[in-house]
Amino acid sequence: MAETRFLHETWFLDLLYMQVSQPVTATATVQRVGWWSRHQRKAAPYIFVAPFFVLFAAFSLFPIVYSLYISFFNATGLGNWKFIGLQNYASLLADPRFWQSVKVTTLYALGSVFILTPLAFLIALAFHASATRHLVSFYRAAYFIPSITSAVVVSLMFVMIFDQDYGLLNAVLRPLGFPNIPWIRSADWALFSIMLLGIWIWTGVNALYFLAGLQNLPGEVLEAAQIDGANRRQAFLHVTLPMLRPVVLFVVSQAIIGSYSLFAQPWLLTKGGPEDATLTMTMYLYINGFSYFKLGYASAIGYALVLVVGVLSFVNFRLFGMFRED
Amino acid sequence: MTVGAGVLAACAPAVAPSGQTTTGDAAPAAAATELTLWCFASNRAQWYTSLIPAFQESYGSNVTIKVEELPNEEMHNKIQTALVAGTGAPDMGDINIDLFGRFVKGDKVGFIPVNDLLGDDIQNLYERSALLPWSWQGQYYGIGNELNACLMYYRWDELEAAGITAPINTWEDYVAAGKQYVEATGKKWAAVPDLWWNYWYMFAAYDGGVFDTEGNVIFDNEAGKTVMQMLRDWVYTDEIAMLAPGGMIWAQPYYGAMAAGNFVTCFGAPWYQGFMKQNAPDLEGKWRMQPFPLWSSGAGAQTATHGGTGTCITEQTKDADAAWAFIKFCNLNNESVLQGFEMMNLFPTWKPAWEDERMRFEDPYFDNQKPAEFITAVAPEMPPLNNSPYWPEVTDAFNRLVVTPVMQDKQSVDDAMAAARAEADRIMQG
Amino acid sequence: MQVRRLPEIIMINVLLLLGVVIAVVPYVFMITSTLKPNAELYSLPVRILPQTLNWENYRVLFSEYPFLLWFWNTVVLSIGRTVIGVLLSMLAGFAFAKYDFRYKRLLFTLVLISILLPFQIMLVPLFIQMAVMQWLNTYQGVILPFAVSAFLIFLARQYMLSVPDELLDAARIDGAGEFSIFWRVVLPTQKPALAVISILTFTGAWNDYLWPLIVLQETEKFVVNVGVASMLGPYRIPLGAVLAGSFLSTLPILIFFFFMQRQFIAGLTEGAVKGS
Repeated sequence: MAETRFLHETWFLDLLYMQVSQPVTATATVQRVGWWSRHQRKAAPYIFVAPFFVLFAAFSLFPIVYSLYISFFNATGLGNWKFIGLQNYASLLADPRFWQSVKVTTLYALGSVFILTPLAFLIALAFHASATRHLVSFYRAAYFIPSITSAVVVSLMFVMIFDQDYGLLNAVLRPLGFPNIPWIRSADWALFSIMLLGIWIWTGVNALYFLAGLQNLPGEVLEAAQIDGANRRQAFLHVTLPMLRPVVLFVVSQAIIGSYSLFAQPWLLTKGGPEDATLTMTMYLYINGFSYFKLGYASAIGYALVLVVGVLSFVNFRLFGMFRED
Repeated sequence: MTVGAGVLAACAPAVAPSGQTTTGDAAPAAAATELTLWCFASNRAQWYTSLIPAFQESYGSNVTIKVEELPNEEMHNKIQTALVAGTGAPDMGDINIDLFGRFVKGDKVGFIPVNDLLGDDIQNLYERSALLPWSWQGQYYGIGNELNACLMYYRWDELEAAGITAPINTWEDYVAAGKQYVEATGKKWAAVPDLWWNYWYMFAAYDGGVFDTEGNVIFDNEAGKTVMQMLRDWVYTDEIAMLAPGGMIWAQPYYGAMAAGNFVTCFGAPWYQGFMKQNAPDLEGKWRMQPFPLWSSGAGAQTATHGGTGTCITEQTKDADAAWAFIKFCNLNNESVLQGFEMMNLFPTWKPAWEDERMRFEDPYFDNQKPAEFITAVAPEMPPLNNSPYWPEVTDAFNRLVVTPVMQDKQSVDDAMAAARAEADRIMQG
Repeated sequence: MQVRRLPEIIMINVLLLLGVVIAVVPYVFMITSTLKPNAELYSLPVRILPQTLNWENYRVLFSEYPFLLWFWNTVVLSIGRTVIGVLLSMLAGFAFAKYDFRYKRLLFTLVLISILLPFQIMLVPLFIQMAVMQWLNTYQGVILPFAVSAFLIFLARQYMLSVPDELLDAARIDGAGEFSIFWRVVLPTQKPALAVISILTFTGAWNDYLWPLIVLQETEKFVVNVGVASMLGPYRIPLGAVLAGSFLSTLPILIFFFFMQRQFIAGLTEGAVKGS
């Protein structure tokens, strides 16, 4: 009994000691404290990044690897999954709906890169030239708003806007002489409508990226160019644009990645239709995995998607210059 | 299949799962058991909830039922993924007739067959509505409590004013009456969907359908083509119908047009009547019902089934006996089924319930006609609905490749059907 | 700043204002639609303003659906995710910014690559994982897996690159441990970064749809996005109430944005400008 009490007391004292001194280890032998304080500077970064990588490994890496694993099986429905090697991928190549989804997603990505991005840039230039600081603040806020709401809310807002007979868009266009356009009801218009929605959501944010880029340009370089006799256009093309390259790279990367992940808006507005006109690759993945319960095939689609995005991102980086650390 | 899951299970926190046994264990729990039931329709959720106290009185209060309402698509997704994972599925699930196919996709079905549990009670059910749609290879997996005998509904006041006699007996008469109506009033006679295939019952009524009893695809047989052509002609040749506003028959604009009187005939199951009443209440008393018209050759059936929900027991249930007891209590019991009728306007598949006085009611919405008369008259004729593991893909393909292009007049019926046939063949092979 | 002629300026502003109208009108339309009865939503002529003020949709929203519960769940889960996400992103960002360690390049590249992955390919395996780990329908299931995003680590790093090394060295000489340097020396100077990362995480958590959809199994545990989407029944769409729910679920973010515009915008643009 006396012994136990003694141990208790020392334990309490150790705790007290620990709080008074620097925050390191608890039960300390001199040696262990020494190791830590000698090695903590080396060990610390690993410990600091560890939580992210643990989560990443558990909830991103593992599912991705598992997904790859499943893609080699005929994992249809419940019951035994048979190993079939690359057959899912072979079927994929022969699947017209898969190619339709590639086409849809790529068209959307093209729209993002070649319509949305230049439009955002033009708007950024307009901001830059709009004369007063207050106006710029106001515009920045207003143009930013479309991007802060969730995909669910945005899609529901636009159900009422795209409706052929009772929608706001046609109500505005009709007096101008347009017919009742079947925005999300016709295969000819549906993808265009989704692109319009994408433009509505993202142009503002991208314009702000460009604006920040423009505002960060060192004025001296431009002045130097002008002193050298360059006119406005030349200065713009040969000095401003190249200096904006990092921003353009960023914007285009986001556009590509975002386009290939597009799911929520077409899913909620058109469910991939009509006639698969808005069937994106992620949607085709989702439908195969759930509605058709073909998990192996869905995983194969997923990997095809990763491949496409990987290749395009690589091309993008090469075109605009590699990511560089500061 | 659960290799990955096995690895994960090894990493799982050491918490004992709450008594999830496989179906082999039929021993009822002595302690309180909570069974979960997932549904996707709020009216059904309310119906189940209202039955729990009575159920506990009869079965015992050591079993409680927790009813969860989840969005339609996602609910089915979760159940199927949970079945793959081996854990996380509810004890019971309301499975939509349209989405049942996916569950019979593989070698194994994740639901408990109820053939033996039903025993002789099978005789007391309208099998074609209650059991067949949730069956595969002879095994019944779910009980549906909706006798969805479809009927035709018409605005008798409008027809009378235009000098048209009802009921209409043949499809030819239907079209003729339509033309007469359109000429007289300038409004449309019917509204047909182009984005979604709501009319599977019309195919079924004409000896068509999607699948036959062996699981072969038959939507492009003579019947299918005739019906599709007829629907298209209503819009473009006879000009008696408009394309359904909103593209499908359960879109809000469709009901708006109905309420405004822009079309005066429609078709549907009893649950469809519920929507009519809900969305066009001012038209009370102006509608009447009648069986489907037939073709003048005598072909066709006066009704078909459309839609439905079947309650299935998953293999992950903690207590299969209790789960079956609850399902039986809800669906094979006069009081419960009649309560469902009162709450949801769903006609029972449990034959004994039809003898109850309440079933002989007069419906003021339909000019005091007695729905029971019509439904019991046509129910025996109901064509079967053959489900299949490929139901989702094939109906998707049909919708995409036939319904939309044909109803939007972008393709001929023959061409569209050929494309759909090719796609269906590709699906069935892969 | 180059001087432009007045007509040019006016035209530019007119066009920009047109853009503002386009950006804002859908919101206005949604809000006014919530005050219309369902019948009016689908009727001609199309009006922005309701004919009569009708609160039926809100009544339905609050009486037939546990909207307040959904709202509360969203608040709790978003705050939880933000606290954890901010802490872990700042930690990792700090490590990448201020330490030189082996595998640094490799790990950082891994971080960048993870931005590329489409979420949908992980849906089914993730669900299976959650089921097996018994994290379905739990707080940790919603908060932890995606609390830390690669983009935010990247952003945190960008901000902390500018922390002077001398500051850190001085603290080390004073005998401070690495974590305490992070916590007591660096973090207090990173208020802008903290603000921005908090806002981005919170907004991302608030707007998240797919992940809570996968994890949550009970209606009472839904977050607003999942709840509102669940109101879209297969055969019944109470559109007015759905829009009301949508509006209310986005209102906090709109208000938040109104008061913290600068930080919101700074957050994203920092990444674009400093990053690449």
